[in-house]
Amino acid sequence: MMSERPGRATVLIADDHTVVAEGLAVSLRPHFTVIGQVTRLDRLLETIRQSAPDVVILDLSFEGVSSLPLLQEAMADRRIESRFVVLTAYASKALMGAAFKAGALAYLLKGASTQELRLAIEAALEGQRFVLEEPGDATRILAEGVVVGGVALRPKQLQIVNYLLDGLDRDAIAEAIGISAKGVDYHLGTTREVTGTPNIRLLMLWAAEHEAALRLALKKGKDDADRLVPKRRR
Amino acid sequence: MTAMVFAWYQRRMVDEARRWGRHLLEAQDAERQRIARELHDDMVPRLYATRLTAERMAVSGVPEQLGEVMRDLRTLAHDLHPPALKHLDLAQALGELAGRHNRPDAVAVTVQCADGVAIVPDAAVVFYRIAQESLQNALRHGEASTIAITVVVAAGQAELTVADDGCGFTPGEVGPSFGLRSMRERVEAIGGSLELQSSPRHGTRVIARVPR
Repeated sequence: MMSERPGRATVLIADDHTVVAEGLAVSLRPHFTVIGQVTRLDRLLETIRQSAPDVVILDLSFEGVSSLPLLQEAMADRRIESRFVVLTAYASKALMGAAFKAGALAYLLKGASTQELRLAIEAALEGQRFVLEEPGDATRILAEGVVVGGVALRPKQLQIVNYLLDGLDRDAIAEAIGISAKGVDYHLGTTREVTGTPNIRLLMLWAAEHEAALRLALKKGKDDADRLVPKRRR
Repeated sequence: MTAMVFAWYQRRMVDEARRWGRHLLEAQDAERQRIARELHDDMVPRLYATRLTAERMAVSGVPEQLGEVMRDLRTLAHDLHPPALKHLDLAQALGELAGRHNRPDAVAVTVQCADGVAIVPDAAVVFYRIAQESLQNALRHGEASTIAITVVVAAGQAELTVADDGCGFTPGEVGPSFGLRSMRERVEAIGGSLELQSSPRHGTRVIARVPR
């Protein structure tokens, strides 16, 4: 892939709103080489093939038409090596799952800051997955040092993954944290979702791969992390 | 003779009222979809462009305020018409609906529905709305802790069941409910039927059947 400026990744912006595409281009130019903006879905695939961007920022809906089939087509096309960051107004876990299944590496909501977009693009460039449950989370969590392997982990998720690394089972984790076993299942489910690991075994492998970062993040942010998300009222 | 004419007139009035009821529900659904589309595809993106500009201009507090407005609009649009129903399928949309109501330690909502279940789009919207309404009723009035949503497709017919373990009620003893009536009208508008089974302390079961 060609970068217009050596050392800078190239980004193509695909959004049917000219004003959004233009705004993104201006915000991202200080950090990446923005090689173009595409506002029509029927022209997107050809533009990607011709310009071979490192990363495509992809809206999920063009004039009400889903871009997921195009994403699948792009992923199946051997001529295309670009990585895809989905930026959408749809706060839908089902759509997020479908976007990852289709081949996207990041899913962000319109509302994400430029810093969060940068994090997502940088994670995609490294081939890592990046998820934001809510705009603002990464900025907040990043400041506390609990983004691991491109994934923004909430304090409970970080705690639980660390306990898994310690070899604790579900009931022991529940006791250690002071929540029910069902509660542990819930947090394990959301952790598997954001890390893209369909079962506990793969989550363990992911955790082992990022063990050093997970241990450090917990150590650094143990007290602060709990402050990030207000505790649920019981 | 007069009695026959009166009965005929009464039937006609009831049919007419039903027809208008269905028309209103269809219009309401179409309007919900239109507003959700406007919010998702126009308002949120425009606000996002403004947020990016405010961020570049370093206007203190404004990007965060716009972020909050966008979050509220996304939630509103999602409630009006879930994007999963528009861009994916009924199984995904129901799964997401269940996920939004699941509360560890309090409520478990399960869904059994095959991916890509083959029912007509109108029926998918009707099933989703009935599941949504039944779920809210089970949580708000039934104090249920377990709610099971099941979609079964057999030859010629698709069936949605929402069963909860809440406090239940005696169907004849509660007053006319707008929610229940609109569920019934929605399903009858596409040629289906609605059945309600409930008794005190034995939960409630809402069953909608539509032709495929």
